Amino acid sequence: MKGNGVRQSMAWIHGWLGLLAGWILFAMFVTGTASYFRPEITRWMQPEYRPHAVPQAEAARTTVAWLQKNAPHDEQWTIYLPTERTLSTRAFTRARPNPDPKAPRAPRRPEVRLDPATGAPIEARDTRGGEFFYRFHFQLQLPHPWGRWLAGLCAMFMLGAILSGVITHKRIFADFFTLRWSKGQRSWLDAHNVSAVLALPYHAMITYTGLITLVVMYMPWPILANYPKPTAFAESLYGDTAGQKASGQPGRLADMGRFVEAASAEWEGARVSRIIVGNPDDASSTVTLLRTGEDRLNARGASITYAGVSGARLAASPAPGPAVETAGVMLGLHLGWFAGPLLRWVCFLLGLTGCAMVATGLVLWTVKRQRPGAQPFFGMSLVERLNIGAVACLPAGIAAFLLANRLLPPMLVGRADLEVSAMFWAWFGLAALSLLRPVRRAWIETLAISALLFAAVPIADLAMVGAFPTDGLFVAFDATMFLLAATLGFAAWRTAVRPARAARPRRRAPVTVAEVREAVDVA
Amino acid sequence: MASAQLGGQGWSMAGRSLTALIGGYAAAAGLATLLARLLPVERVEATAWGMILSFLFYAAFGLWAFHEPRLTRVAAVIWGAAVVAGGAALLLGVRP
Amino acid sequence: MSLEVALLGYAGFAKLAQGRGRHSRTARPDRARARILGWLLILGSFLAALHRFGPYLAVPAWLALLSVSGVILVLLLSRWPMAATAPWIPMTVIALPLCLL
Repeated sequence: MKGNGVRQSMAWIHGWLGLLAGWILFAMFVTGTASYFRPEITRWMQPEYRPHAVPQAEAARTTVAWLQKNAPHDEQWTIYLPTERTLSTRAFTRARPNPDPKAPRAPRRPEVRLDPATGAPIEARDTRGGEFFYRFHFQLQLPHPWGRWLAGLCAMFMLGAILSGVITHKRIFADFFTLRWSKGQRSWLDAHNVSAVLALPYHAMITYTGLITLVVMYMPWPILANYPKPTAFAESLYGDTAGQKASGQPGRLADMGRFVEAASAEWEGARVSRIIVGNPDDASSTVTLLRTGEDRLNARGASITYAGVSGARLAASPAPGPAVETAGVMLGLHLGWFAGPLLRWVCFLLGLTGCAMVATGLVLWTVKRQRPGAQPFFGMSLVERLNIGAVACLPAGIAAFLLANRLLPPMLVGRADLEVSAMFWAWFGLAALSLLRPVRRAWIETLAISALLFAAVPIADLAMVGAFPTDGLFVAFDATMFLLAATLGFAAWRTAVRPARAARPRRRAPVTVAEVREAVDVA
Repeated sequence: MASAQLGGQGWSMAGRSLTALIGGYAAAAGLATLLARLLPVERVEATAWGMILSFLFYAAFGLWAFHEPRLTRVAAVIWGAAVVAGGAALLLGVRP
Repeated sequence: MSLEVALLGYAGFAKLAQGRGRHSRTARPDRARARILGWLLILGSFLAALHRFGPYLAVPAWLALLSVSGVILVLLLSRWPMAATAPWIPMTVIALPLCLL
């Protein structure tokens, strides 16, 4: 290996960035891809719920009625109105901080899902639903803020890996269509290249926009340089919504439906996505309505703030300049709300391609360093084992989460947390068990178990829910489970039929110099 | 392996990694903050541009830290950029 | 449905794959023609995306649909090299009326 060319250094850094962040990135890609169907997964996990579509104004009214009965003195209500895909209202409340400074901070309350027609909590089994995948995707089930920081670090590594990968790839266009099977390291490199390059615009976009989604947390310093009071930045973006302090005088909110209708009218019929009510029981309550981001690329919709009691229009978000619009578009690209049904499936497939890119990269790292007959060095064993745990056992955990949803009794208390436990027990348990097996058998068996668990999900669905699904959503979901099971099963089968390294017949032709250089190129 | 080019193992690699990871972040943050402070556009716009571009700066610093073989040069440029940009931003003070 | 964007993308990639230099049995002028046609089809796919999605959404939607059709083509190409590129004609033919739907 000669010289310190940029290709060599980028190849080296690409390998290390990809390896160190790869295990977590795989989980982020998987859960992120699942999150494209966040509301659909939630609906599948609450099959008892029969949604009734009602006008937004009505949904807002019933929700506020319930909140006034159940959380009347809270500091802030956040209401996500139902959409075509999310057929229930989601409400979060934030309690008033305890005036006693020594009292421990109250835990964040989980969301409550309400029937938009009645305002009552929906009558269905308690579950996190698709929200679990969404939150895991950027919080990694770690306490705040460590999860987000770790996810951000992995995303930065991913960005570095993309840039270095592009710089180092010598024949990026000549190799565009090359995918050779059963050629060992060659094949893994081909698979990694194909999954990475063919969807390169998507991977680059999703990585950079992902960082942007939490940029205020990751890079707040420009705000501090430009604003003596950092909260003024949010006010510049959203209009002065948070300013109102509780006056201490009681007050009654005006009819929420009228707020929704007024805002919608001002936006020429566009839907309201979210309502934030500040100090709802106070005379100086505020109602902020946010416009939907589903009909355009910019996910950050405009907002209007009204006085809660009088209904007077207080403020509206200013029209965004090019930078703010860019940030909003980046957010929209990442969330993919603008996508109709076909595009959404396309994004899902591209997300799976991203998972393949990370997984093939991780496997490639070990395949390149395999010395037939030699004892693997410790780092190699460590990476092999982590690869199995991260790539082959995570699907088992996800399938276990979905299976638990169907198998646990619907009325069981605490079942939502049990479903999450099932996911982690299955994932880490299978990974631990895989340590008892030799590496190749471990791959085959964990992939096979993951495949079986995924295949069990639609079977459990049919068995427990009782009726054959007629709703298109359930059919599509179960079919996807079977397809994922088939893919995992295919991977297990291919690994099993591949001749073990020691028994590989000698190569027919001597390896050419060019091939050696190419294989080592991405060292 | 290119790592041999990068001047040995152990402490040298640790120093380089730390410079890339932490120094790179500081340099990117400093540059982004300076940009936000000085861009002659509306305050909220300049802030947003700085934040949006910051990750590109970070990636560039980080990758370059592992391309340039001389560790002293890497450390000087990256930590230097962090100190100069950050210092300048601090000295300029908050936008009036 | 924006299927026509993906169909034209697949067809374009199929022709570009046929136009590849190495390991190809087709003659050089045939390969050049295949490449030209391939690029034209890719351009067609972009125009179809513009028509379907409008200027604002067209680029991300087109890139996404193009990528997916590319991935599917390469997967099929790796297993059935001749059959994977064959459907480019029916795909183009079907895509054109779909643009108008």
